[in-house]
Amino acid sequence: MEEKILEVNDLSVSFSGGVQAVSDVSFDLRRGEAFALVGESGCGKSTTARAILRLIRSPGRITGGQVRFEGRDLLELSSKEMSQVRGREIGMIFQNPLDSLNPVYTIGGQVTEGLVVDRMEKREAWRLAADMFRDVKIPDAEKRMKSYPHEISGGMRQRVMIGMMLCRHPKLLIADEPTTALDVTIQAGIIELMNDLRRKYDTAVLMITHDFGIVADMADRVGVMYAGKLVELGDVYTIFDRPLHPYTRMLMKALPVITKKEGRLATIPGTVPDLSKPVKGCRFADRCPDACGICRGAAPALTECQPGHLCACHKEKGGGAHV
Amino acid sequence: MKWKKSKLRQVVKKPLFFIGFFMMLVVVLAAVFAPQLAPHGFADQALNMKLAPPCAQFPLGTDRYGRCILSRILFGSRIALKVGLVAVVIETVIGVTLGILAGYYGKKTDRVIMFVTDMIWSIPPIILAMAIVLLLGPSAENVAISVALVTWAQFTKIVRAKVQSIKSLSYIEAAKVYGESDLQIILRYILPNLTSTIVILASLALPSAILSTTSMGFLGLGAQEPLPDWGMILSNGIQFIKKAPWVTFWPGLAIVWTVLGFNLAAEGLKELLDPRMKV
Amino acid sequence: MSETLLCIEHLKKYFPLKSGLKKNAAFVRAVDDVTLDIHAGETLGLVGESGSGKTTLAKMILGLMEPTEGTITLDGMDIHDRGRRKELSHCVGAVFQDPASSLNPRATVYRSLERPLELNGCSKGDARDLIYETAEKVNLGRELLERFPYELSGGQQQRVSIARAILLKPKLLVLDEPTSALDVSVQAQTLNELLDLQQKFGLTYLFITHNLSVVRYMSDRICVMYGGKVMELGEAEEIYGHYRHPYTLSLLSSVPPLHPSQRERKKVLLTGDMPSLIGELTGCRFASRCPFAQESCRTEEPPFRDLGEGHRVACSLAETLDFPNR
Repeated sequence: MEEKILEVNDLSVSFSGGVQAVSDVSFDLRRGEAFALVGESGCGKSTTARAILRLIRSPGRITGGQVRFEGRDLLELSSKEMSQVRGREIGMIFQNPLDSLNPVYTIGGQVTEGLVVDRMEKREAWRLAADMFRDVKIPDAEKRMKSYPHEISGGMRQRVMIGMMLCRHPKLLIADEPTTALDVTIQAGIIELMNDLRRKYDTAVLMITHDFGIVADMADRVGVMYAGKLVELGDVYTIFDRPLHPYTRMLMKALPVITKKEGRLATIPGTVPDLSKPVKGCRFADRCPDACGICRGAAPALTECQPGHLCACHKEKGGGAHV
Repeated sequence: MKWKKSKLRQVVKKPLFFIGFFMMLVVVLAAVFAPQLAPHGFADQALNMKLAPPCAQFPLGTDRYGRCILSRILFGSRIALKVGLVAVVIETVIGVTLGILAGYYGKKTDRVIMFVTDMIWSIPPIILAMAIVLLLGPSAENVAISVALVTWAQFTKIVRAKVQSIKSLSYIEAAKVYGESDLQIILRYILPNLTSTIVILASLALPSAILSTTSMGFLGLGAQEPLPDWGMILSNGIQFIKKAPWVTFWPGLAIVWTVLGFNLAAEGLKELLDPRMKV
Repeated sequence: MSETLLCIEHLKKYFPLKSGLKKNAAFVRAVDDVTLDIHAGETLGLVGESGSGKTTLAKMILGLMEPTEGTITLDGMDIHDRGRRKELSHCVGAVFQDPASSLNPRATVYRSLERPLELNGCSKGDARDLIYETAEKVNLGRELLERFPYELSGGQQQRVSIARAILLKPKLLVLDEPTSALDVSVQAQTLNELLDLQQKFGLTYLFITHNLSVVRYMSDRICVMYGGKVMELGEAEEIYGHYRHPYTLSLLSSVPPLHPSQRERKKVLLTGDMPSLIGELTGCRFASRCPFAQESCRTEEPPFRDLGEGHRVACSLAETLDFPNR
């Protein structure tokens, strides 16, 4: 088995009013692997990503669990040690790159700043950054580095962010919906770029997305989240070909992949449960067509149904009422 | 409503808001019950007690005509609040109307209104206000008018920006599609969504309006003798500041108390209605 | 072919650029000479990236913006005839992208629905009946009517918007990215409801989106816009199966795959940015990014030609290009 660089164990995050945004989420990432965390809005996927880097804003709080990165528990580090990890060992890019770039500095200046902090000589840093700009396929790299963030397009900004993060060769890159705000043609370019660079630098990627298309395009393994819980986890082919959890199955059928002449899309009746109240039993039970007594009584644990394929459902093999 | 309750709880946790609210309440009660609370009339002179220090008969002392400082401050609060309120009402009406017109119609209307606004903005307010009062003649009413005429510009700028952002929202476009007229859109859709902004702006403008009116009083442009304008009491006492410091100390304290109290209360109100608003 | 409901002819919208003291020195050609018909009872899907002019076109159809040149006629009436504004407000309905900002936050759902009827001279009682009837049509529970918008979920808010749009029984419904802000499962439900409404009441939709899977599911015909111009127009299946424009090709090949096995498909990635739409423009708008562009493409504007059966394309090389058709 390949080396694990990130292990998230039973991570829980709660917000004010007792909202359990993330509860007992566990997964791991191997070196150089692309892992996608997919789910609908409010399922806790972004919160999980932020919790890994300890970027949860008050009144949110990590209430339990471990985040082991290369053997260290990130939740135990001092805030000074943590800021060493951020950017240098784990990079993160967000949905809106304009918010992540400082408008009063040139993009070249911002990219080299991190390197200069790492005691690199300024000219050397600039050269390295220019190389990186070419790597992320920004035309006229040298000239572009002297531009300000507002002078370049959204797609270019996201490329700058990716370049900026990869400059310091992080072992893990967390990408929180990096292409949601972009047009499809731009999105396709960014995904291709991320795939190329991942192979080149052997960087693991944790991709947060709501789009199964992006999952299909770049993930090696997938975790499906629903209402703060990880409900299914497995290899990307397995998830697409043989999804086990009813939520995953229904979500796949709701994707508009047909024409109206061919039929209607499947829908998922009901709504997500209120996470400010404790939920008894499976969180999907109220919307699940196969739910029965046991589903409402006890929460199913995420258990291995087939090698490498985990599912949290009582109806699946090995899915017993453990929790 | 549920969210309001939880917000109220957040504000309740802020002690400064409570202190401010308490201070404000004291001033309002003083103004309302001045005739009952004051030991003397504000113009009553005790000619044998000129510049008397605080004593049983005059708890805060007397001024150079032997008038009770406490009574003058109590009655003076009426002038301060009345002039401040009138000024705020006038500036709100002018500022909000122009702000809505500029923000909603844009183009030429906006350019003209913003030109006038920037002009007003660029003249030192107290000098402009003085010029206006000198033109109209010194009196409490004219002070209110002049303060309003120099301060509406801040309303215009903020309301205009807010209207511009509301204007681009889909419900305004939808309303136009199903046939609302411009006037209806302003009255039914834009104005109701501006209420919290206007309330916050007005509540923040009130203490500064009170401060401006007392400054005008200090310069002798406000309510005329024997009316007890706080600013005037203060300026009349300055020449005796060594001999009789109470004549300046107490009205000064009243001004600080009032402005601080109203400011703290306004900040609390802002927290309650729109914590992210920048003024 | 069914009759034409909306007829757009040589429509242009140029925005003047502010350039210091010089007056109207330059224009942004947001929509540049668009000619398009929408047939009664059909769904016309309008796709394009940001900056393609699709939203500007929609705003002109809704009467929210005056065209610089050209006309839009609905059932023979000029949309921009000010005298008939009232009459037209019955005829066109709109649903916008962001469900949260589509409803007046200070009004209850009922009030939001009542107002358009009130404006059109409907009595309180009639309005009540019609609101209940329409709420039922869009599966909006009666208990939701007395709530405020912030008390509803995104899907419910969008259903209120749809209800408001169809209250006056419009002939044309302009749907501007109605499901872009919704989750997949809510999107599916909303799209299905829109299809049911169309079937039951014979509505005509102009469906604007950047999501190519959604537009394929919904549309009878598809119109592809780029740089303020129509690039390709035709039956939905024709566009997906036999597209003839290089831009359509790159757009479709950019759509993320449905299955990881399609990961290695050939993508036609666009390089560079959208061209500037300012000033005098010559040649094909797409030429600067087109992988097949020839010298003539940069100098001569390609005509919008009919290739038969209503499949129209603005590319002079359309017949000669060999695409990998899906």
